[in-house]
Amino acid sequence: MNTILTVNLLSVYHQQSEHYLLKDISFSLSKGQVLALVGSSGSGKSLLAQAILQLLPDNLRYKGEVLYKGLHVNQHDRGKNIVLIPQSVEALDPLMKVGKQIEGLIQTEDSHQAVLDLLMRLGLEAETAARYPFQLSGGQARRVLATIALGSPASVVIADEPTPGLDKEAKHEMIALLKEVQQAGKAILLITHDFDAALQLADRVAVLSQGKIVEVTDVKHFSGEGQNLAHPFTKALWQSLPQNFFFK
Amino acid sequence: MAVAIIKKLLRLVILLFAVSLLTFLLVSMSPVDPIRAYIGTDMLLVSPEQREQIEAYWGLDQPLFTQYVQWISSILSGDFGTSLIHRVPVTEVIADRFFSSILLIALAWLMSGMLGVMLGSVAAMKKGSWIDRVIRGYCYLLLSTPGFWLGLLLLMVFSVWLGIFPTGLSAPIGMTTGDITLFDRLYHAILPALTLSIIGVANVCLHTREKLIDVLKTPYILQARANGYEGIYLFRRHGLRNMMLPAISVHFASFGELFGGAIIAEQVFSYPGLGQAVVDAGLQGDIPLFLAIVLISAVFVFVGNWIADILYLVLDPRLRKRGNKS
Repeated sequence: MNTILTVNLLSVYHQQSEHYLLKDISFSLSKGQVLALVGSSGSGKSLLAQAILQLLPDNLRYKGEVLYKGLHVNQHDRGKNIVLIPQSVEALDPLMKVGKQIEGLIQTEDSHQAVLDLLMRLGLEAETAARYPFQLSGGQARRVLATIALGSPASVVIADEPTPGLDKEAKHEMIALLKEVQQAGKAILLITHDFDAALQLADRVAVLSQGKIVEVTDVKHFSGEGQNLAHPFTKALWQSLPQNFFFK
Repeated sequence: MAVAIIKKLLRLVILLFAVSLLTFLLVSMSPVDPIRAYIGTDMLLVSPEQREQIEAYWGLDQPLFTQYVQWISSILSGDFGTSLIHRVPVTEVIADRFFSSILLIALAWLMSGMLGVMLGSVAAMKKGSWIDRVIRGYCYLLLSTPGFWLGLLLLMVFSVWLGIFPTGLSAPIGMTTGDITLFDRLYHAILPALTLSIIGVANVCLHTREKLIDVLKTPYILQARANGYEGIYLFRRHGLRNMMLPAISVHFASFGELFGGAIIAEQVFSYPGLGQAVVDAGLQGDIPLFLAIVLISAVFVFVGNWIADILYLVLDPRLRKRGNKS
C-alpha cells in the first residue's frame, strides 16, 4: 500500500524542563485508511495533531520524524496536503462569514459555487454561507468545520474529536461524512475518546496512555471481553465502557 | 436605531449637566477673583462701591444657585458670555481656536494610530524576536519621555538647527487671515502634532501588540494556521479585524488624553489652540471662556467614544445583531 503519512519515533517535550508529553510515537497511514487514536483525556491526543502539523505552542519542542509521502512535513503541507478538523466550534473566526471561511480552503476557480455545493452536500442551506458563526447552531457549526475535510485538496485528514457534544442524529451524519471522505481516498487520523465512533470508522486503533502508544491493533479485536487485546491498559479501557463490563 | 440615538443624546445632556455643575462649583471655590482678574493692575483705582456695582452688573452678588441657573439659561439661548481676556464673545474665541486644535489633534491622532497599530502588529507577529524587543524598548522609552521635553527637542532640532519647520504659532507672522492657506496651517501644525503623536504611539503600539498576541492564541488562528495561512496572509485574513475591535476603542477613548496632551504641545509651540486658550483662561480668571472650553471638551470626548461605539457595530456582527434586537 502507498503510505502517505509516516510518524516515526515522534516525541514532544517541554523546552525548559525536558519533561516528555509524548514519547516515541510511531505509526503510518495509507490512502483510504482510518487510524483511530484513542486514550483518556489528557493523554496527549490533540497534542499529537499539533505536533504532526508542526503547530506546537512556543514552549514545546519535538523530535522524531513526520513524513508526508516520504518528505519531512513543513508549513507548506498544512491545508494543502494535511488538514485538521478541529475539536471546538471556536475554530471558526467570529468576525468572518462562513462562506468566506470555507472559500479560503477550496482551491477551485469558482470557489463560491463550490462552497454552495459543499453546504448542500452537508444538508445546510445556501444562506449559511452568508451567516456568521454565532448565527449557527452547534451542530451546524460542526458540519461547517467538516467541510474542511470535504473541500480541501489535502489527502490526509486529522479529525480531532469530531463527535463529542453531537446528538445521535448529528453524530450519525458526521460519521457518514467521514466515511465519504475515506471513500474519496483520503487517509484519516481520527483522534477521539468516542469508542463507538472509532469502531464504526477505523481500520486500526492506536491506544495512547501517558504519552505513549501502548498498542496498535485491528479494530476487529475490540469485541467480547477484549481477549484479543494485548495490553492491559487497552483491555481496561475497553472493559470500562458502559456497554461492556463496567456495570457487570 | 432612533431610540439608541435618543438614548445617547440623553446621556450627553446628563453628562454636560454634571460637567457644567461640577466645573461651576470648582471655579466658584477657586481663589481667583474674577473682578480682580478683569481689572488687573487698575484694581487699586476701583472703590468698594464701584466693585459692588460691577458685582451686581455681572450677577456675582446673587446666590451661587441663581448664578448657575443664569449661566445655564444664557448658554441654552446660545450666549456663552464675553471673554474677559479677549474682550469678544466666547463663541468667537472658540470658533477661532477650534479649527487649529482640531487640525492638530486630528493629525496627531491619525499619525499615532497608524504608526502605533503598524508597529504593534509587527511586534506581535514577531513576538520574542529582536524586532519585537526593539519596538517595545522604543515604546517604553517614549512612555517615560515628558511631552514638553520632546516638544522642545523637536523644536530645537527641526526648527532651530535644521530650519525645516516654523518655531511656533499656527500661521505665518504678519499674514492676514484671508491670505493663510491650508498648507500654511498644516505646515505650522506638523511639529506640535508630531510631538503629540510620538507620545501617543507608545500606548497604541503596546495595546495593539497585547491584543494581537491574545488573538494569535485563539482556536480560530490555530485552525487558520492548520489551513495553511501564515505571516501577512494570516494577519490580513484573521488577525487585523479581530485585533482592530479593542484597538479602536482604546484609540477613540484616547481623545481625552490627546486633548490634555495638546495643552502641553500648544504651550511649547505657542500654538494658539483651545489648549492654550484654556490655560490662559484658567490663569487669568476668564471664567466664561474657561467654562465654555470645558463643556466643548466634554462634547469632544463624548463624540470620540460615540464614534468608537458606532465602529464597533460596523465591525462586529455580534453587536450589530444585538443592536438590531434592542
